[in-house]
Amino acid sequence: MENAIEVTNLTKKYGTTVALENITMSCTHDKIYGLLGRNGAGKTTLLHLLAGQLLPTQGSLHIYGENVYENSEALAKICYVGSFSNINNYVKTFRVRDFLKTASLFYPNWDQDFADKLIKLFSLDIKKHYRNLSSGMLSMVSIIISLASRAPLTLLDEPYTGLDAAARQEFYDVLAEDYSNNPRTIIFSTHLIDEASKLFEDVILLHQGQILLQEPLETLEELSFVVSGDEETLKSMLSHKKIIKKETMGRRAAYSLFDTLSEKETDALTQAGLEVRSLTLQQLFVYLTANKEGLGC
Amino acid sequence: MLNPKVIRAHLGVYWRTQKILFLIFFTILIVNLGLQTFIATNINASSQSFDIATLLPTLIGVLVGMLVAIPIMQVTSIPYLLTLGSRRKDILFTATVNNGLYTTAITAILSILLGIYATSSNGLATIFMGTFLTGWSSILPIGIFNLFLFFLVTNIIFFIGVTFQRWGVMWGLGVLVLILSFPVWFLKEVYHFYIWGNSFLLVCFGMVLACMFFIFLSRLALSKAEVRPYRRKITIVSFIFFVCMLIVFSASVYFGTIHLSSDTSTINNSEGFAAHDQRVIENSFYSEGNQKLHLSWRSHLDEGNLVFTLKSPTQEIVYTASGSTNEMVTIPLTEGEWNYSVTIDDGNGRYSFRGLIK
Repeated sequence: MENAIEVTNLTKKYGTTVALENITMSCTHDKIYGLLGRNGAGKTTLLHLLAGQLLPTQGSLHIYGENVYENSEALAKICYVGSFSNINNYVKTFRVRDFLKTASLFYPNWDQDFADKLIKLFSLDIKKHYRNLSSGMLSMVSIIISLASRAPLTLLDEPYTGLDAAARQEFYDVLAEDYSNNPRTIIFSTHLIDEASKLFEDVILLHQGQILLQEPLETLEELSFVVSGDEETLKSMLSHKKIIKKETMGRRAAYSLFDTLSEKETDALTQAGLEVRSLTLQQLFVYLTANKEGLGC
Repeated sequence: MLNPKVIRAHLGVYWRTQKILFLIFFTILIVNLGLQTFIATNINASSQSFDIATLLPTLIGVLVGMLVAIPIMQVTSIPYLLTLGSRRKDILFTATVNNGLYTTAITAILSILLGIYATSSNGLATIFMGTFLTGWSSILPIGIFNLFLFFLVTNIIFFIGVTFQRWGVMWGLGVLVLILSFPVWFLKEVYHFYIWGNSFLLVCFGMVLACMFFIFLSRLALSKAEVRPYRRKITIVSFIFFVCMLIVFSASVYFGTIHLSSDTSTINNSEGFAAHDQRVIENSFYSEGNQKLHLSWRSHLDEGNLVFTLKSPTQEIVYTASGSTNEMVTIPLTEGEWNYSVTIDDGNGRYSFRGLIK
């Protein structure tokens, strides 16, 4: 079976600005991918490209084995509504129900019952005009379209902007439940990493227009540690490891690793009086993107 | 083959965005009609004074405005349609269908208005592209012409809009100015056709070709259209393009004006007379030979008589028109002084003639 997404040597330039540079990646069917990266890393550009809303400057892009460009069959399998930031003033005269009505006509697998359920869950007034919607309500509209479209490839770009903690939790729960009932490939771009990381199966980390890593979450958990204790001991015992962050507090220090630690090595570190803990995904993201060179340490 | 659901979806988006136009249109219509009715019933105290001619300029203005506004609104819907996974060629197809539907509707409304005006008017018949608007039958060729013309206009505006959307302000303005240069360059032909008309078939065929050309250009421009996440900068190249197009436009204004006044001359007169007027109006023009006079004559008499006479340099009467008539003739001219006269005999009415010598 072909991959859901197959990207080869993809480059996107805006004039002279390079947004994405020579990206190669693939995503399998029915998996939730976390797309992480700092502001300006190229996440939104990548999602636009995957949805055929932007055209690559170089490279190729296939969704379910098909080229996306002007391919109605491939496009019908993708849903990426983003944050409605690109719509014009006349579309802004729409009411919520107009957005949902038009979206229902575009997506062949549209699930109206599910859309109604989400409208009720988010207590969204479908008679409200766009201009009267808060950013949280706009996010709700975006979420409803994304999920009710039942598109085999659903792209979510920070879908909870403006949502409060309770609404975000509702969204995570709905997404998890809907995903288990209707498995599909979801690419989820977010800055609230720890909050959303429970949903991720794989993580794609973009940095300065390039893919820094693409690994299953479990692999990342097995590769990221923080070891703290006496600095001299840390230096001598971890000299051959990839250290992505060093923090010193007097004679004590904490080294964050992005490397494997065997059981034997972990025991040796513990016996040497050092404390070994796992790094959270958010910490790993911060250290990797703040200090890319750290990978080569 | 385009999915009917996609056509429905696109038209749904277009119509939802364009409803504001209808709101404006019907507001103007209702306000205008309301004012007319108020004046007729309260000031003149007679419904006889209600004149549809006073409504026409406003309504035509609104209709022509819609021809510009509709394609522009379609262009502004492109990012939303792309967001919902539309193909660019589908967007072009449905936009063209939408343009066609609106064009047909606007042409029909305008034709009805012109028809009402033509059948209800007691004055001189209006002449438009060589056709006298005297009844419903005279509206048909003008309606067909307008249909093609309006469709062409919407396609041109759509192309200009797509240029703005794809390449930004400077390129868009440049293309706008370039396209405007063409009718300005051919001002003479446009003017002559507007008054005296020409082969409807040829002109309509030309407009169909032009429509196809602009649809093709829109397709080219749309083929790489994107949901633009950034504002396009004004580059030196785009600015130079705009300046070049301004120079082209200026040149077309200059040469178009020279071309308009060259090799042709006109004669015209229009007058109303009343209270059993009795006089003769005479004038003349010089022909260099091998020229033709394209003459449109209109007269409306309530009583009495009116005779228009055209005499050759040898004093031979080559054309006469009398009474209430509407005629358009082409007369070969020999070299020399040609004389024409209008004789009003105990009359009450109005006449107008317009002649083009070329």
